[in-house]
Amino acid sequence: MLKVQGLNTYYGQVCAIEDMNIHVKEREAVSVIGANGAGKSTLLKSIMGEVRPKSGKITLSDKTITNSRTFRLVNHGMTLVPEGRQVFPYLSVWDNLLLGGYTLSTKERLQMAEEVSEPFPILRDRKNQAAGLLSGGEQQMLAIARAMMVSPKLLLLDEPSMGLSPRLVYEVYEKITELHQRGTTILLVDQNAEMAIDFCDRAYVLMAGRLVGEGTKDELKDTEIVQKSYLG
Amino acid sequence: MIVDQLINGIVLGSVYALMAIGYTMVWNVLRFINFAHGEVYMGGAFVALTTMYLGAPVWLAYSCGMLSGALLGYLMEKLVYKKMRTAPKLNLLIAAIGIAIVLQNSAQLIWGASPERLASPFLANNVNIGGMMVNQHYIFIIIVTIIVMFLLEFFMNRTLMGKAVQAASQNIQATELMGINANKVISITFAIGSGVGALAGILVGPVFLVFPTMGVFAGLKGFTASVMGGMGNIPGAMVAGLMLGVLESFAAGFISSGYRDAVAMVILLAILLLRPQGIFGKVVAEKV
Repeated sequence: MLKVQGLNTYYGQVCAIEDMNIHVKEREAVSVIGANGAGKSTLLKSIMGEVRPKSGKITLSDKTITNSRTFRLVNHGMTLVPEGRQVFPYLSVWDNLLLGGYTLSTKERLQMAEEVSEPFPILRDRKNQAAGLLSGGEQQMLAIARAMMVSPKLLLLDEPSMGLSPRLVYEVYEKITELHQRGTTILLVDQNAEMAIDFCDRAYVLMAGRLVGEGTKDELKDTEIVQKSYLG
Repeated sequence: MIVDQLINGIVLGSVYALMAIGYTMVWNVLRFINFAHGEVYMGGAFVALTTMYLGAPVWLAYSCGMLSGALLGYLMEKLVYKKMRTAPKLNLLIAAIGIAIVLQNSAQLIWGASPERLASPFLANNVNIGGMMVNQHYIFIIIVTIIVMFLLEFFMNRTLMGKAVQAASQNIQATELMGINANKVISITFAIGSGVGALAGILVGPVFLVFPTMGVFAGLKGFTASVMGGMGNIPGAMVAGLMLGVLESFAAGFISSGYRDAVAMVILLAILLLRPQGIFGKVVAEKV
């Protein structure tokens, strides 16, 4: 479904991603792990059009999307749950959800808001509250539900466990697993290697902007390459 | 005397409120002050004047003026500010001042420097309100301002595009993740803010006349009102505009009309020193 070929992304003169090749098949759950600064978020930002790659090719369902504007990619069936949640803090929880369905018709938008909020009762309970007043875990749930408003073919998640307590991390992963089991293809990056590997079908290991390992979760669990990617 | 000054103040304040909306809307999405906003106010008034000279009825001339103001704001953003979006804010500020000067000089070249009166079907008549004669055009200004405020309130809080404008003001990058074209949201914001600013210029045209530098002080007053209301706060800008107009009018009536402009500047300084978030600006608690 998603193919990244020979991707190079720079911030000025600094190379953040070097010759990256990854792919995600339909209905697969793929994790990208690596220490802080490994290039995980830059990879997602390059895919999502938030950062312009210097070279390389990105295709989604055989359609080239390299350098596409972010908002257009939503129409192509790909959404991102960004790092740090990035909910709209002064808008209500419900308005945040509705904006997630901006590209839908009014009827579809309302229908989807009801549908995606069903697994998240807290969002329904607090629908009129400002999203900025939700706890970190609740904001993460909102960000995930908001990204699901357009029933994406591919859901990207950037550091979904960041800043959350272990119990909340577990809850968030439980919800992501539910979405995957319902048929959503997922590409996730996380510093929490244990959770990310446990959750996925396959994983890629990044170190200093380069791909240093890949394999199924059983192949990668407790391996030296994963430890090395974190400890150097 | 007091009621007289109050009505004058409300009329003046309505115009400042309309101007302040433009400043605050643009601030919301781009975090910069469009100091060429006063020239949109002037441009709209001149286009209305020209359309009227060409024989158009008043309603058409006013509409053309407002639409041309919206177009001017849209073009300013598309041709200049958009290309400077990643530049330091100081560059944008200097560009805005440059645009303001170019527009003033262009207006002088096209229409000349002498003030002209924009026609109004209401100017010649008075209305008796509680024994006081009030010019019908003043009532017209107040009614139009109230209608615009209600329409804006409806647009911002009851439409999806209005919510998108609010979202863009809170996190423009996340707005794109919703499938919203952030550039379109910015353009619409500029067009609406500028259209409302041009309307302010058209409304005062029959009273304070139309001339190339008419937007300089009106722009400063609108800016003062937007700071008073809390930058980015649209209802705050509306109320602050009215407050500023009334305060100025009282100062002019009870102290001296020479102090009218000084009052606005003293208020601006006081707000910046004592309450930089504005009278209605508040810091909303945000859990992370």
